[in-house]
Amino acid sequence: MAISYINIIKTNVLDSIEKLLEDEFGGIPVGYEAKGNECFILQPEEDTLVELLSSGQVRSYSVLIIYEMNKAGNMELNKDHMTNRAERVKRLIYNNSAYSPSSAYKFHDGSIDSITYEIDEDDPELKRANIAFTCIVTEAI
Amino acid sequence: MSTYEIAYSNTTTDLISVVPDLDVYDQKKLLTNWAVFTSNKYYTQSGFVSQLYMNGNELGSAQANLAALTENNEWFYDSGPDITYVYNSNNSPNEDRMEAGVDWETLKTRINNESAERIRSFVPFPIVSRKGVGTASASSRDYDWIIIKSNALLTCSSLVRPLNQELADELEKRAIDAETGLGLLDQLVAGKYRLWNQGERQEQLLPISTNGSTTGDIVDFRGTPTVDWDLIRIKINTTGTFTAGSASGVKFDSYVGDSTSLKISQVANAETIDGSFQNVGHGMSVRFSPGVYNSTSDEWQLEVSGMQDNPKIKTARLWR
Repeated sequence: MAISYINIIKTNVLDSIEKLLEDEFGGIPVGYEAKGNECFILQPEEDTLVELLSSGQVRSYSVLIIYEMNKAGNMELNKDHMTNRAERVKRLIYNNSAYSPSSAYKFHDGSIDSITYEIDEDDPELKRANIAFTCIVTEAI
Repeated sequence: MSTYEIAYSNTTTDLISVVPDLDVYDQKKLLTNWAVFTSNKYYTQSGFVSQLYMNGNELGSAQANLAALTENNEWFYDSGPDITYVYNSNNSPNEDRMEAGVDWETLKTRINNESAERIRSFVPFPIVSRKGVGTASASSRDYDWIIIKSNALLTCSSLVRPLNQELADELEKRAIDAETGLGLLDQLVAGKYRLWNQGERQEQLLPISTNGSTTGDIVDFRGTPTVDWDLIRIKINTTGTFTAGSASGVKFDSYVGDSTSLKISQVANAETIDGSFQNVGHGMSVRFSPGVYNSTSDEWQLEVSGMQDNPKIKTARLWR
């Protein structure tokens, strides 16, 4: 018989980021693959143990939030749009660094650790802001 | 100007069967860098815009002029300087996903029609509809599957090409492949596939009605049709069980067409089924298998054609 467990990175982290982004950026698709002219792609990166407790564990989760836009023109033409989106995500996470919607705990210490901007080497119309998100989740077992 | 020509594939299920997430390729372009024009009116250097979208939603028709922008989501495209204006009292359009494009349904319909036109230019023989009682395909469509599929493939190829050249090439090659000649239409033109109305495909035997307890069937037919085209109706006249080793009491009738209608002129009249090839008319014979023929409603249709649309080259040796 299989043990009981919870898919923490999905239910507490990825689903939460998806909900936050969808609520804030209503018209921009959020998912796990590129879609349309602009979208957010969630890419789970790392799951690290912070502390082992007698009745649970504290872990740090890292997720790369990739904002991707598909538009002709160089970065000079598109930088305002790109940076606006990234800055808005940064503030969104700051405002929700401890996230417990309807008093249901999801994560705490959520933060954006870095943002890097890039143009796709093969397709210059694709521009990305790679937004590195981390948070802490305490799981009671 | 008008046209009687049509597309073979529809713009819904046929296209989705080729590219399930086709809507992603709706050929919209992102409009960014909106600036304030006057209070609640914003503008951007957009290039040509025939339809404006906000967060994926169509914003209706363009207003006639800039002064007409008085409500949220109203927009105007000024073709002179190529500028689009939009009215938004809630926030800057920079906060929304603003896109320019053409109406998705209109675009799909136009490209689908263009692809059908391309098929008509490529296939050197008529593509006729299968409308009529008992004429549609097994999937109840009015055109052959190969034509419908090719139309959908070419349409999807054109729709995805601006965003995914590789996929577009792959889809196009499934319909027309100049290098290998293995596209569906290449093979149709080469005679490897045949349309429903082409002579080589018309010698088809179809069960029209079979009683649930009937276990026998017409299992073979042969002959050289002595008619350009006809439908032969074969039906059970006297029910019973046809068993090897016992005299058969099962009988059948057959009917062919005449100058008044199809399946109307009787050829075989209460012929006893004996398991051999038995004449049903137009130089054709059928062979029944042993089994139960339980109803006088048991009926088959043999479509015959003495014509050949893709004659094969054969050789013959002569002596003198």
